[in-house]
Amino acid sequence: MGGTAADRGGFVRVRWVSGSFGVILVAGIVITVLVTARPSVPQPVAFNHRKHTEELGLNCEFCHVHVTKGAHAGLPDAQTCTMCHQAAQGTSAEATRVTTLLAEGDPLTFKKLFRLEPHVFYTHRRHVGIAELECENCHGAIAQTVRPPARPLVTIDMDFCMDCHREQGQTLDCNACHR
Amino acid sequence: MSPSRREFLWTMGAAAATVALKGAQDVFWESDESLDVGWAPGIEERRNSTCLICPSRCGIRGRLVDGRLIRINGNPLHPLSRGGLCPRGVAGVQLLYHPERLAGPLVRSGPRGSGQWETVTREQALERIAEQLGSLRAAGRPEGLALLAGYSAGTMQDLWRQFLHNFGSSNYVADEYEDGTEAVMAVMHGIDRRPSYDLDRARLVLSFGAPLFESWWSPLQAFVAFANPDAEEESGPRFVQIDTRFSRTASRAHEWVGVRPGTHAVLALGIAYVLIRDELIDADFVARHVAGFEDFVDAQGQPREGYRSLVMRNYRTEEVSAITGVPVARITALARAVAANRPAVAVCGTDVAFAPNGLLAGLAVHSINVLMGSVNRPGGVLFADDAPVGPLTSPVLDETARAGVGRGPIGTQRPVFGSGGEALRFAAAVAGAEAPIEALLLYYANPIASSTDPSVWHEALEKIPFVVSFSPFLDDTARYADVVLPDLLPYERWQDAPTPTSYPYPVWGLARPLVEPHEGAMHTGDVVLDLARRLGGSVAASLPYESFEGLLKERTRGLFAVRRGMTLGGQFEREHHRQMEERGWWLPEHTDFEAFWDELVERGGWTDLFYDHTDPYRIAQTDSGRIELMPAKLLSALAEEGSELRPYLDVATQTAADSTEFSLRLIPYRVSTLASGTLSLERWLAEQPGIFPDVLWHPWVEVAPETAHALGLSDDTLVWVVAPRGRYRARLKVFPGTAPETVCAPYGLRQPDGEPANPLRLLDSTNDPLTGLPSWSSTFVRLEQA
Amino acid sequence: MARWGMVIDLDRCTGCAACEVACKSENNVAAVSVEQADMGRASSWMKVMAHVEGEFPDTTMHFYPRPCMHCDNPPCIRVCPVQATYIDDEGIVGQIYARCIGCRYCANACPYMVKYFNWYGPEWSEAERQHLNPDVSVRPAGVIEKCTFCHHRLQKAREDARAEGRELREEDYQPACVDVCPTNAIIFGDLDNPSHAVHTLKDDPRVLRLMEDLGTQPKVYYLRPRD
Repeated sequence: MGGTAADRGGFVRVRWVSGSFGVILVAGIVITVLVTARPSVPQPVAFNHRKHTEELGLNCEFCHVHVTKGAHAGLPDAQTCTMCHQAAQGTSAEATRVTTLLAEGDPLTFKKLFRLEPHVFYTHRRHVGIAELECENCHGAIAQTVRPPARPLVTIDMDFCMDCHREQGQTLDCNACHR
Repeated sequence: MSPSRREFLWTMGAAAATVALKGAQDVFWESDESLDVGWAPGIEERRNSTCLICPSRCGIRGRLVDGRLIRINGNPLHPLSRGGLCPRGVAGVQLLYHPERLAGPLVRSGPRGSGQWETVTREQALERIAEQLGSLRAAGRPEGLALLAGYSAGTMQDLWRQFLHNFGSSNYVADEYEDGTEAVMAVMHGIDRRPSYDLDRARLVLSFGAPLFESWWSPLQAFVAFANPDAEEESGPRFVQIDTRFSRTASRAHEWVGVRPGTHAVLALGIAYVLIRDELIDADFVARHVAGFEDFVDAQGQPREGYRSLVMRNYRTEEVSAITGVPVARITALARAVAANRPAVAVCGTDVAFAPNGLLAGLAVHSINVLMGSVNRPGGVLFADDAPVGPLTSPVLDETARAGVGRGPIGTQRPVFGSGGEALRFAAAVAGAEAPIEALLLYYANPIASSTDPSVWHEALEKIPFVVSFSPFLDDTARYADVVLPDLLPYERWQDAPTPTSYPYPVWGLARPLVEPHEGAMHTGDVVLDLARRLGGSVAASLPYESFEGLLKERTRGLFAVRRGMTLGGQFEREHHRQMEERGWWLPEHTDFEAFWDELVERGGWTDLFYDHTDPYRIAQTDSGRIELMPAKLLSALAEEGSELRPYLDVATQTAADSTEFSLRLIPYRVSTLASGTLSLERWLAEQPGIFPDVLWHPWVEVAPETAHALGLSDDTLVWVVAPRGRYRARLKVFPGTAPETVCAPYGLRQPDGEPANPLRLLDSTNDPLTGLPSWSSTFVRLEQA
Repeated sequence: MARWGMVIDLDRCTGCAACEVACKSENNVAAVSVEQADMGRASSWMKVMAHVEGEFPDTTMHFYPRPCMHCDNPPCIRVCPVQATYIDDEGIVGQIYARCIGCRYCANACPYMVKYFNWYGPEWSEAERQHLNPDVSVRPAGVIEKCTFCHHRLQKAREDARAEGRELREEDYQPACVDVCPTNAIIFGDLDNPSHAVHTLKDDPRVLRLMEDLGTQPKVYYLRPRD
């Protein structure tokens, strides 16, 4: 093939090469971004954290019941929402929708937003129940959001964990989190 | 050909994209989404219960995470197991979450054994069974119903018996583990009960072929005595194992005495000889409680030799040594050890009882306990009470039931003592059409896999028009059933679990649901109650219980009212209660039955650790009120049978190979981790079958190095074990602990494809006519390269 | 700083293998297929080995439960090219599965043969996944796995102690094999803490360590059988 390529004009050849290179580069970036970014997490209702925490004064544990005892904090389900929303609450359209959904028997399955790799062994009991860390240390201003965020507000990677562990003089042993 | 720039660049671009993709996925860790616990909070809980895997009934403590059973540990409150557990108990999680567990009830839709099933609801299955049973009663043939039941001591057994009785059938057929000791006690003591062994307080345990650390009634009872954790400063008992095979028990006992096959009892009488000769016996006990020691005149007025004369004349140490292969000095030393380490207790095992004259051999072994006064004394042979639970409602029999019960159990003549070999006699009677059985219920029995003669069972099943299995798995026999209504697994159901009689105190362990019951399964206890309701009339009236759980709770009112014992407690509580009761005190812990029940459930059961050593009825209940060394019942039974056998004379099984074709003696034994039918399903146990770390999954047989050499076979060769009756395939293991000219063959194993590899199927059909137990050490085989 | 170690009394061990099964249950050790087992690829972090001597009838047999020795000078960590295996401050030799590249150098370097390679991914059926311990990972194909002295139990025990505002007690942290042993043949604790049983037992005249002459300094001590 080397011989036939030499017959083509120099200009054409350069344009071809630079063109294809550009396409590849863009495709590579797009693919990388698409793959590494987490897909947005759809929730059954547009839950307003700020309304519940700041305005109504509910604490996090009210809905995330296992936050001090369990490995995972737990998510509210229809039963939790029913406590207040069985009867119509407030004026917002979304609150009305919740009451309707509950009446229809919708299970209101909320989805996990913050995810860790399965080889990371994290427990809320250790960090919240015992070490008494604040939720915003890892979850950022989630309590201030007015609609469900599509992506985690904080990127929780190993550096994130290690920085805090170093600052707080906590264990840096691999076994402590990976096993 | 070199690539063009374009091709090169395209390749590079693709590679970059691939790296980007891979980077996101984490190259080295394939995360399996299905293993992600997701939002399960990981809330832990621990609950006490009782293990139902083997007769030992040890206390267990389940670790639950979000309602799933993750681990099974020991319950430290249980007085028998005291927090320890054996591998079978630990592996229970693999039984509970077994992939081959039946999803729901099945009804056969093709020919028998074709494997064609239709899935039905529990209601439909119950309907079908009730209909069949109802028609039996309607036709006036209730005795056509039979139950084949595996080990099921406690309320399940009582319930089944009462159901059959009310129904009008006497065909409760037991297919259980036996060791022949029940008959020995019945004959010598007049007490119809298996003996208890006070291993904790014995100073010497002389085990004649009892697999104490492997597959005895309760390995945990032996382990706890061996380790003696409750008495740190005192040393535990000395264990002496008299065994033909260098078993795991033999290897870990303080001393192993290797005897020739079938000569355990001869050694026992050799020890008795030295004890009498050197005046080491408990003469006071013998004078007060024993008959037949001296010469006597029998019922017919004939003078007869007593125990002393027989032993002194026939068991001089030189002769015993010649028969057993144990050196004279060793026999003398053993006898001296028995005398010096009192209380000493002799334990009689299956290797003694499973012989053509097993009862006589068992008598000889137990006579050591009698000579040493190790009966009804701490550290000796005791007779424990049952836990005093309340009775079931008294049965009411209608006309049909009375007629059916009146026609008695089916089967050929029962043995004089004990009930050995009952299942096989039943099958033979059915196969021989002596007795028409129209419906057979299988409860924890799998005779096609476990029987020494599965062909008889195949024939019997052919003759029975309606077979129901309650097995949670489609086991070898359930495959031939018409309806399979799977029981709940032990971690999902209520059941009482009394410890076996080998333990000297009553322990009424309670198994309770640790996890949510499986939807497709149903507690067989509830099935029985439901069937009774459907059958109506007097059958229903005699079992007026809502549920099996309710029945259990009702029976514990007996424990609440008895004014002794305690709910399970720690070491301090146990000792405190025992000492109080010894002084005649008992303080109620509960005034309210509900609180008592709640605590009983929470702790895992009830026990009473006080034993009354002053009760003369726990020594003998014979007509003479004494322990009979020359039992009148036995002598007359032998005379009636026209038997030539004489007590203390014909105690050895000295069969020799009668042909050169089959020259190796077969010694079957139970593997501790697989000592029950369903356990070979558990993969962790299949990976830990025995002492050979490299024989996972495969059945094996053991031979001595010189035997293997003489046969020209090497380690790990695949061989056929051939007997006149049949053959099976196994891997040959050369083991220096095996006696020459013998083949030690574990049973309970299966080929990796599930086919049973059962040496018991090769046994010759000799048995002890007095007890009905088969002979295990009189079969000869040969090995062929496969 | 604690230095965790184990003492195994060979006089008390009856070879029942409860430790072996408890370990598999605690640590999600999957059984391999029959074919793989035949190739010697079964994993058992704790393995009961039998040691037989003499000919019939003068045979003796002892059982050696064999966990990872958690050497103070572990040969396995020197050969790991990616630092996936390492010894922590408390003497526990760890294996970080997410970092392991499956080169098997460590398995070959270990004189005790207690490092197991996952030739295939674990085969857990849908039903069996129910009993997996959520405290321990399920290892994928291509990594080495090994005994961790049930390190996750140490973390739990520390958390509990801290939650209750007290010091860690000896009985708080016991690996699964120790917990289950029906004859109490396995004793576990801090070798440097004079109040722990192992501290005194490690200087018992009966003590024996496997292949001590290699300089591995194992922290699993055996009490050799009395005659």
